[in-house]
Amino acid sequence: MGMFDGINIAATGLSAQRLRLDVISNNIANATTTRNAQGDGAFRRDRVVMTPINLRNVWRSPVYPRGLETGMGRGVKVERVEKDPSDLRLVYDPGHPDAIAIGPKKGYVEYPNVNIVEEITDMISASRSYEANAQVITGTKQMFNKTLEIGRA
Amino acid sequence: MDIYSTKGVSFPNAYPKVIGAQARVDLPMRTSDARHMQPSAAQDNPERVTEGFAAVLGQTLGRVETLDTNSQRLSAQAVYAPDSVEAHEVVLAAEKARFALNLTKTVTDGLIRGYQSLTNPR
Amino acid sequence: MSLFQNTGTMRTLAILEQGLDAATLRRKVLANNIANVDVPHFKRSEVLSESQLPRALDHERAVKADVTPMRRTHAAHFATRRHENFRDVTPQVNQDYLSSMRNDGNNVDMEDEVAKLTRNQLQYSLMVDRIGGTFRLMNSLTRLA
Repeated sequence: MGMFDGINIAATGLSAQRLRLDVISNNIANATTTRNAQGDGAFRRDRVVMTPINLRNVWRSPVYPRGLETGMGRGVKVERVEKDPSDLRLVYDPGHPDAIAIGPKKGYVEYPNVNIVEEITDMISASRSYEANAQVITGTKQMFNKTLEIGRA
Repeated sequence: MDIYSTKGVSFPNAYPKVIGAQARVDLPMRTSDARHMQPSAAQDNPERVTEGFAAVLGQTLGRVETLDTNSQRLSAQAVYAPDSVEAHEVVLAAEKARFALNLTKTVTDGLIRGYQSLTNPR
Repeated sequence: MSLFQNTGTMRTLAILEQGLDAATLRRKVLANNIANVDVPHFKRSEVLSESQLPRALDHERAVKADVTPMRRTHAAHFATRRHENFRDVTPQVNQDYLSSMRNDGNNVDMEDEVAKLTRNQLQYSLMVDRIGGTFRLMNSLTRLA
């Protein structure tokens, strides 16, 4: 393999977790935003889809099961940031400028589907993952320094 | 050193019986084809010396040189292609080469000192 | 072990020395990148990992294998695409001006730069260890019995 693989892989983890943290903080900041950038409704929460970097085999054959083995992993990457399609929160408030004017939901205002408690939990999880990846880098550095001590003195 | 060898030791008639071990007697095998396996002296005693000292010395120096070349190749790879080599590979190859070279130097020094002590008429 | 200019130990020492040069330059470039992490429109620079070096080292093999050199009409034109002597290879700083990470035009990824810094530090330690070890070995072998 290589002597820096541990560090490279941990660095991909650090990048991915930081992006996830940025997305979560955006969600929290926009937790009560009733308009979104496209102008067609309320803000929907973003979520991050991560994937391992060398996930190549999308099908497995019973005839040749090891044919598309990926080998050792190379880390994680964020494939896309997508909108969460779950239902928006409805609050009855006919005087609000963004209240729905026609239809069965007349008078309701759509609020984002952001659950603050869930977001805070996700944030704690992202920050712990970040710390764990940083710990991997520290451990790799220690192993390397121990290796260099083989020849010393 | 072979514990079954009796050359130079005064056991005139039989192999010495080593306590707790089986004394091995070589029976010659009758083989019907030249390719069938036969007990060979080299197989039984791998430390048996069949070549001269010069040849063995040359071989040993060649092996030391191989160790050194290998270690230098790995060190160069650590500079321009660090992802193709492991850190412990580089360090261990360097240590092996260093040990082999030091050992060779010590043996050479001893040989020279011995030669000088033999040829010095003092 | 040979002490001649282009073979054996002297060659390895020259390669390691160039590696140290490249590592020092890379440290400065990465420190500059990290210091400018929140400057708008700042594009990060990088030092190419010593990819010129194996091609220059390969030149010697090509010369031995009698690869046909290119005919040139002027002395300043390139004869081959490789450096003649691997000691002429110098590390280059390239600016990555094509990518853009953030809305303000800055493309410095902090984790990536820190990881590169760590890798550089470890590689530097290994090269220093090897150079020191080689010199110590040569000194110990040249001592009188």
